Amino acid sequence: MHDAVTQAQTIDHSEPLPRGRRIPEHWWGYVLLAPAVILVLGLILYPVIYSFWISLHAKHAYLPIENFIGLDNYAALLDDQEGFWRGLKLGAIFAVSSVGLQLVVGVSAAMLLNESFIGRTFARGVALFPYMVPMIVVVILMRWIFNDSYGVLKYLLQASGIVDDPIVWFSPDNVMLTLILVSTWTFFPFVVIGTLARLQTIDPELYAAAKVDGAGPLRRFYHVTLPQIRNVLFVIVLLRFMFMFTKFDLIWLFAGAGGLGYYVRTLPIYTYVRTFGELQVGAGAALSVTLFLMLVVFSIFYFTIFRRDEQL
Amino acid sequence: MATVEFEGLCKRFGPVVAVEDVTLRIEDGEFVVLVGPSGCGKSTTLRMLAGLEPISSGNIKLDGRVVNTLAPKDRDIAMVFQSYALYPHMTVYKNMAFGLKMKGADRATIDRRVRDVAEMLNISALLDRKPRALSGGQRQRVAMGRALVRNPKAFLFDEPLSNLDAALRAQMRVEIKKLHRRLGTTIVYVTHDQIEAMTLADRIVLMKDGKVEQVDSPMAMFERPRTKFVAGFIGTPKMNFLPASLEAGGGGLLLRLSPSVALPIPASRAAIYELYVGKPVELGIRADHLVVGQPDDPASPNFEVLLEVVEPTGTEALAFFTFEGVELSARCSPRDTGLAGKSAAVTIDLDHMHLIDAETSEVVAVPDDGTAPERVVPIEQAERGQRAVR
Repeated sequence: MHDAVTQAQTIDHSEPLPRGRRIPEHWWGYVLLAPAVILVLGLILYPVIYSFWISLHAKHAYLPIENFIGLDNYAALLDDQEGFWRGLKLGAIFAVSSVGLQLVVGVSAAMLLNESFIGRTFARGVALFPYMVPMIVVVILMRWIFNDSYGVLKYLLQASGIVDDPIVWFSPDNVMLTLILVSTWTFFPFVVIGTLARLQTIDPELYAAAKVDGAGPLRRFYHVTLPQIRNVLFVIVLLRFMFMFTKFDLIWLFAGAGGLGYYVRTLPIYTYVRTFGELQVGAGAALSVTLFLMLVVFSIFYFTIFRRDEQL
Repeated sequence: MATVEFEGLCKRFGPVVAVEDVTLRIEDGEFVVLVGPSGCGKSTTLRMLAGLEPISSGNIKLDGRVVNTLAPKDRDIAMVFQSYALYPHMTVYKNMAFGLKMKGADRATIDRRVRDVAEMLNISALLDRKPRALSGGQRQRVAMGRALVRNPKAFLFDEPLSNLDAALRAQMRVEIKKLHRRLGTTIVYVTHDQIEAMTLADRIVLMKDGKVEQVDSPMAMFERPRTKFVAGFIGTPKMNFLPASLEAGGGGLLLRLSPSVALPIPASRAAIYELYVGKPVELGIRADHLVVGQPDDPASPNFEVLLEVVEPTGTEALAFFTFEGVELSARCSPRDTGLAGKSAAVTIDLDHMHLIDAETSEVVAVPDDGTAPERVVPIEQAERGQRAVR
């Protein structure tokens, strides 16, 4: 403080300024922070608050009708078995199954890619490939691969004798499974990246010690690998679950709004349908706020249950 | 308790030969230190013994039984690692109990063993802590404890003290030695530190480029190195090496170090060194036998040098100088630190010289000065390590 005063006085002497135009030095911090704060508030907080505000209204998408109805939109959700509750259930099935599979495939792949073999660098690159393919390309590719009359998957399954009759992947019964499989393929590299990075930091001597201690491969995984990657898996599962629970593009591009889409109408899809299909922006906003709150509550529970304050 | 035998042990990583034809017998209860510069194959040898590294050829025997393809857990050995390799998420207790648990020991046995060993190593108070809450020295103890709990046939140590500071290292050295005395278990210990090797070992196995260079007791290796490499590796400060030549003169043999300095070789050695007259040789002499100051006996060989640096170490001091373009070190009195930058006489004790055949880099063997009449075993035999222990 003293320094600042001294400095200010020095400047005063050499270059006198009118008193009123000086900004106290400690304000400069706020001034310099302001653009970033305004940006964050404007781009993140404002839309969230605005969407909550809309959710309190009966509002049509195009017509200039906006009536304040309080929490009626939310109350309506509770009775909306066909839309809300069913969407919640489908979304949970999709997210939990997909994240589960992504974990199994991703961790296994990461462990494979952590071994040393010829062409490892290439294999690591290839493993990340699905994550980089644009979603629309994934969907087009997979629609061909999974096609039940000319898809390569049908051919492979039949040629190898695994199935006799072609599986209709895009049927009401199977479309959820198909989407889970496709999303696993697309997003498991996310798990690979995080897990592999952690695996590479594990001291190989830990495995040597475990071998000498008499632990076989499974016990080494359980007693050495798993505790080491636990923390990173914690974050990966949290992120992946939130991403998958709010997944829109993949499901929408695959199944659309009606027809097949009905069988995978998860909450994000339902929210879209309500807002831009039925043009009920107020109800749609209530859905999206609910979705948001559910994720917040989920995160809090997740942290309290699984997070032990433990740094390895 | 076990004997360990290597028979023609080899390890190749593709075209690289990491360990070449190592043959060695380690007696039951012996403390053997594998030492050598990095990349000499000592750790690989140890890992092969542990079963962590498959062998390329040869045999490893534990108690006479070939264990070449046996899994580590079935070899009944315990290992202490350089990084300690403590399981970070487990408490000290669980770390120590892990091996017994994997063996399927019952809870009571595990508890008794862990607490006994913790008591022995003075780490009872740490049992509930996680490794990250321990100091380096404590981690080291826990790593040893984990090995001890299993009561194995042999302990393998892979550079266990490298991560400790000098003072702690010296302390742990003593403790490991005590532990060995107390337990009497066979220990195979790998280090790159020749002081550790000298202080700990019953027998040192000095390796270089994947081969065994010499197998001997620490003092034998210090006093009777078989090659220039061994002579230079063992002992601090490093042995001085100086190109020289032998010539007949003065009624005996002269060691010529420079156009103006030629020193008479003691009669006891002259007979053996005669063969090397006119051949390129090197003088190997430790700083202990190169002393700054006029000799008590004026007949002792000495020569004048310009001392560049004098480093006092307390009880004595080391003087460094350049002679014929070679940097040499000599012992001097700590009172002589003022000699730096001045000329001084250096007395050389040729009774302790080593003559190195410059073509083969082997030290010319000399019978021990009367005390031990045994002749030094030829190098080929030493490489096979079949010399009896002690």
